[in-house]
Amino acid sequence: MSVTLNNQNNLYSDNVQAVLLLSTFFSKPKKDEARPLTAIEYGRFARWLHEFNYTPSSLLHQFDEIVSKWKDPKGKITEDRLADILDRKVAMGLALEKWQRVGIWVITRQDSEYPQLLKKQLRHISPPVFFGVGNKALLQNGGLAVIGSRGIDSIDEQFTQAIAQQAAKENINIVSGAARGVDETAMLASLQAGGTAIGIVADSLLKVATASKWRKYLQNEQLVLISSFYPEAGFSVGNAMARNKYIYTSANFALVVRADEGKGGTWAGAKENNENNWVPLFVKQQSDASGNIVLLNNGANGFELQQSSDPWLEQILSAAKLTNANTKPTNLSLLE
Amino acid sequence: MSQQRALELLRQGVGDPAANFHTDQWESIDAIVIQRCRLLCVQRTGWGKSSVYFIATKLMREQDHGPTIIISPLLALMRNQIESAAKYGVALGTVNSSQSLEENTLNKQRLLAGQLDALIITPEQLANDEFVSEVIIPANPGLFVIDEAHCISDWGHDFRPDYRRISRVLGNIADTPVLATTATATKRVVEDVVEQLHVEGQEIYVLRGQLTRESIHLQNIHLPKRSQRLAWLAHIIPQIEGTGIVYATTINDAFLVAEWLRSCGITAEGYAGSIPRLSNADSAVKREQLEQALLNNQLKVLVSTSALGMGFDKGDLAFVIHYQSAGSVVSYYQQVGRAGRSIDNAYGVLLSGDEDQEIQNYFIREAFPKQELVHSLLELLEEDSCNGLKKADLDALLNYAPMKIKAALTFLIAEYPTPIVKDGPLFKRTVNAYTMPVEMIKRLSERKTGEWQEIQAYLREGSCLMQVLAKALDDELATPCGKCANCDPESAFGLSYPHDLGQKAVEFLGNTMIAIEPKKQVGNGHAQAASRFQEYNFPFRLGDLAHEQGAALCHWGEAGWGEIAVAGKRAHVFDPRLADACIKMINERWQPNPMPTWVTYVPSQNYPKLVKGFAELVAEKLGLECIEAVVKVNQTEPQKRMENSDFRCKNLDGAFEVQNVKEGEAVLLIDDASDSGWTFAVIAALLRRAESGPVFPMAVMSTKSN
Repeated sequence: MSVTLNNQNNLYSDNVQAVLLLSTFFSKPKKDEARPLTAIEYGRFARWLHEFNYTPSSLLHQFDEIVSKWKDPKGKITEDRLADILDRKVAMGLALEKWQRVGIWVITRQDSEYPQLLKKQLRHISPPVFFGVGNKALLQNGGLAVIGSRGIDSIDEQFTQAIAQQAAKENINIVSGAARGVDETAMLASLQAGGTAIGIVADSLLKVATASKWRKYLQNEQLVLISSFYPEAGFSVGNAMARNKYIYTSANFALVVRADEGKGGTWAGAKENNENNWVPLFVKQQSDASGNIVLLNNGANGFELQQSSDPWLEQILSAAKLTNANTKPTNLSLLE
Repeated sequence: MSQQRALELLRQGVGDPAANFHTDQWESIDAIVIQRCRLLCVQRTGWGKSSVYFIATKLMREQDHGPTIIISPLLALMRNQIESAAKYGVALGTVNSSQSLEENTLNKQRLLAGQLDALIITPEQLANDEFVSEVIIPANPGLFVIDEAHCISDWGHDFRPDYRRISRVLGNIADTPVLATTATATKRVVEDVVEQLHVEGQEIYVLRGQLTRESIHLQNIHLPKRSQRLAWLAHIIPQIEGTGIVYATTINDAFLVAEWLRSCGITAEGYAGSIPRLSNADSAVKREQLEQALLNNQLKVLVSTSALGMGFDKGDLAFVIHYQSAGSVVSYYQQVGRAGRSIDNAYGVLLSGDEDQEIQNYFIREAFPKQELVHSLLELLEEDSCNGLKKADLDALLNYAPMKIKAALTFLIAEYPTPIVKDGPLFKRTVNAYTMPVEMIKRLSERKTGEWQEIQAYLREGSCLMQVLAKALDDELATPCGKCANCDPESAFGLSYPHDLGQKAVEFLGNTMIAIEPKKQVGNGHAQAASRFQEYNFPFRLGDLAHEQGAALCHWGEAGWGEIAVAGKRAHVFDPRLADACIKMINERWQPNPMPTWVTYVPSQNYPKLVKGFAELVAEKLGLECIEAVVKVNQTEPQKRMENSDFRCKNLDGAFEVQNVKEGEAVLLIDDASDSGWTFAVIAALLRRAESGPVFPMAVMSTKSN
């Protein structure tokens, strides 16, 4: 594999460059500009490449040959579009330098450091690229995803903090979205108690990477923050919804603190988890939240705080069952 | 196709249908446009690098590539460059900090709309993340041109942190052609630059021409005192036919020499990166006017700091004289090499004097930020609650000069991985651990010292001077030049000058006067004024409380009065000749109006007799009453330890009280030294509050550094 030696710093293989060119924005999208492939489009295209024994880096050397054979069944990934997005090398170089300077790294699906749990669960729709900052090794820890809305009352806040502190005590990693509200509360409580956390953000990784609230924990290697969207991406509801699945699939279990039936990211994410049978779902009991009630009625595991000096969290989690009785196929071939 | 087209463009660009490429010009264009390689072009000034990159740009644009980004440290004669580019059919624009906001915005828009073929920027802009995301990345450049590429190498005489970023960025993008140019580079520097720009999968070439210029007559002359060098310049310059440049090491010296030459009837002007008393934007305009004036032969001499460098090219420049020693042989060559491009005889004289060593020591000391400053700065930004601080906040919290804080920030931002990042107006700490690169700093400082010793050796050199310079540049000159003062002593300039010219120079230096401008504001707004003066509560606009324009006799320690004043301070009593000199300054040069009718002085807790005694002497000689109108009521830290305005003001706040003021009468307020002028501002305001007439501050020395 030929290598671009950036003598001050990283080695970016042709493959990584190609994946980035295919899938990533490097600056705010301009109106008539060709767009990089979405995660789903990338998945479709990557599968085809694999079947025909090509790798993403092949696009850099055998472009003509490949486009002569490829025809997108959905008609979106055209030759022109591919040519345009692959032509953005300078933009990529500048952007990568800017991000790397502040400590942001890049991992692709082929890397061993890529979150393996997520990759197993999502297969060809796992994002081709994650940008991140902090301790990469934490990405394999699994643990408990804690999910809830941005606005929480003091009861839910205390509940969330108690869970997170218990998790820290029992060395259970917390996975969440780093948003205001439940996410942040869970993560910070765990970190403050000496635990670890994975934060999967939907936007603005660059800003988050320099925010004072996370800095200490990033430096201490207790925290890793990742985003499948480019580090300067702004907030969008679509992206926030899309990243919810990454939270579920990076963990072994999930706990919904508060959901409103029929609306919001928490509800949508929980539904998606159940439809796909990703991880056992727990829901806070004794809540007036409409979504909590419905989820519990539909088979989610109930969850209440315990007062015990035993590792009760571990015990509760291991007794969990998947919401849907159907089991998933376990025979997965690892994809690129 | 291309060579024919390129030749067409050349002929169109230089306006000569019979023109042909110089050696290596076509090869350079070919390497970039057709082979799409990286190229380091080491060629002397005047070889025609802008033809190369304008033609390359035009050819690439004709093939639908993105625009060219040209990175150049200082932008001389922008207007000329734009006109020149237009002749090649290249629409050239620039974005930089000395241009107005409107012009910058317009240029950005034009670039993004595809209306510009090339954009010149300074290396600092590459460090500006917003600029990179919003302008450079979306423009998708087709070619990068790096001017003064030797700045990339820390083996070079002019290593700049911002240039490191360039080589990192270029390291991330194979396939993009890069043209790096320089007029001075030793083999070691060339190797280093090549290594930094090298990227797997893309070829990199070096094209090197002869750097030395045969038409220059070199000479070294040691004249220890400034007055001697001033006299020599005034004597010799009128005897040289044609126009030239005199290089000085500091801004003060540049303007001083220019003023001296003018007083001897020579048309001379001073030039520096920032022109005293002008804003950034006005400085840029002024610089352009001065460059043009020299080009048009409206000036005989331009007296400049090293700022007059990059991009300035006058073919018939007849002399380059250094009033003070350059810092290294290579930078000496870079400056003297401007002379004699298209004429047969030109003169390069290197004068050296007593002050050179001290100036050089200063530059070596100040080259990198101090560890304590960096440590304190990072500590502030690292605080748990800190989500970023503005520059003004940092100035208020750190007892260091704002310029030093700025230099530290610039240095840290260029580090990789970087410990700080700029987000809008806020500086923030990143997650990257950081220690100062002490090894690198030590190595670079030692190298600077080595370079200094090298030029000291050059000054004492007995054999062919041109051979020595050529060797230092790894440019071999097989035989002695036959023209320099060592090869042909007959042709050299004499060292003597008329005695009365020497006298005149001594007097000129003694007749200096340094203006002390009144501060009109004590802060940038009510809040800042209130925080700086919690006791005195001055309004942020001083209005009537401000003093009149004041004066200082000399610079701290400078030859002549400056040395005598420093000795006086140490002895706790000033030489009475200083009083006479001050009075001469008052009567002949300063001429305060209305003339003060009484004298007072700034009390000192550490030097009580020094200023009091001096003020009483001056008052006696002027026939005026000396009154102790200002009293120290609080112990304070020595004001000279306060490094910026916030600290200075707070140190002065509430420290003094006034008494026995002569109401309505103009007063002469005396102090031994003035630096930032806050002491004068505060005491004058107190005197004015007590109903005194206009206040005229006078200091023996100015300690403001330049």
